[in-house]
Amino acid sequence: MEIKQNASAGTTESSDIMITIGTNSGQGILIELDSSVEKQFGRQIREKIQETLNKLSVTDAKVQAIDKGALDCTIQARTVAAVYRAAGEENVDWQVLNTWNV
Amino acid sequence: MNIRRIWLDRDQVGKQQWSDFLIKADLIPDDQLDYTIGIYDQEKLIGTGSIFRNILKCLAIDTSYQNENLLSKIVQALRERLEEIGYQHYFLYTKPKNSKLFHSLGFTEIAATTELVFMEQGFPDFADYLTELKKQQRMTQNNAAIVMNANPFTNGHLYLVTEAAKWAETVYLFVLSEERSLFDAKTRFELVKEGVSHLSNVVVLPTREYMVSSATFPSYFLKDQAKASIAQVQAVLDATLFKEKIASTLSISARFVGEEPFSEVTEIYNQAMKKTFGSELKLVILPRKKIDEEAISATKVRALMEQGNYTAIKPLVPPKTFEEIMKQKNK
Repeated sequence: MEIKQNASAGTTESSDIMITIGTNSGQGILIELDSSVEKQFGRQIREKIQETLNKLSVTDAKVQAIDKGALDCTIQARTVAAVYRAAGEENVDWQVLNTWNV
Repeated sequence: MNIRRIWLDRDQVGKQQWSDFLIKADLIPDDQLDYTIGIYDQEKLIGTGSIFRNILKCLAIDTSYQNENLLSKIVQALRERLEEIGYQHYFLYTKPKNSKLFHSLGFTEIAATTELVFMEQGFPDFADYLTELKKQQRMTQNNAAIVMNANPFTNGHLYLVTEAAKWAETVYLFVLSEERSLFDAKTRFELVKEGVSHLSNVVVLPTREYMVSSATFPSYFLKDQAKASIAQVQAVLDATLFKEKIASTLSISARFVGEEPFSEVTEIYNQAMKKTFGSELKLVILPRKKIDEEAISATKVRALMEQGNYTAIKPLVPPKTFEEIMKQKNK
């Protein structure tokens, strides 16, 4: 999917993560992470975001992630929601998303 | 505990309660707000936050309720509102001692003075703006900057640019991107570009929201209402941002401004710049260009437009600006 506009998903409440996505045309993926559990899980959170972007075929994006201790499933859900909004795509392809969880 | 909207313009009791609350929290109840919410414990106000355009303002939490994560709740509610009305990029002012709190909520610092920290969240951000500026950078040594609204671009502006262009190797001419003028931002930008096209060492750039905008300097746009002390604090912030972030990025060594005998806020702004720039950045204040003993100003041009006195406008503005004015007249 192509990132066409700014969009965000999630909150900065405890156990959640706020993902903001913006365009980064032709310059790859840039993830900026601020996490309350950065030391323990920073690498894993970044990987989860990156992996989700890969699955959605997002190649260029700027991502700001404010994490308050979100679980992997939350990170994935917020990233998916933010990407769909940023791509201006209203119909979520559940079939594809479901295949991720096999 | 519940969050609800406070209708400042209709709810006198609610407004009084809110105003007392802010004063207790050492904040000034601002009258430049679009939307205000409060968190209540029964009927007691224990936290509040507001929005003006895309700026978060007047945020306060009752000290006896701190550590309950109320700030996060307020910011979240305001974010949802911002998103609803279409803002994905927003700003915030806070006191230096609170900036850490907002950082943990995802805000990034743009500039700070001893009294204020100016923060933002969302894209495109300040870093993107600086990248945009660098793309237009010329590799010269002695550079000057001018920031103008150009509403519209007059011969007075042209004089200022011409003088700066004589002095400097490159002049970076910033045109306000804010949409709060008679002429829209795109038109103003084009007229300036056209008006200085004969000067090869002038680069015209947009200010986005980082110079004299309603974010960095709201009182500029409400000159009549601006309280001098608030304008002063904002002017220092705007000047600091310019000096530390913009001037250093483009190796600017001087800023040119027109003398301002009429507007108090602009005068405060000029004074604040002088003080903030210190010895590192030169502030050149030029007297206004005059025609028949009268200073040319955009304000004057707008007044003449109002009166429909187009012949009097002609000598005050470059040909392209005049064309645009006539176009507006015929609309």
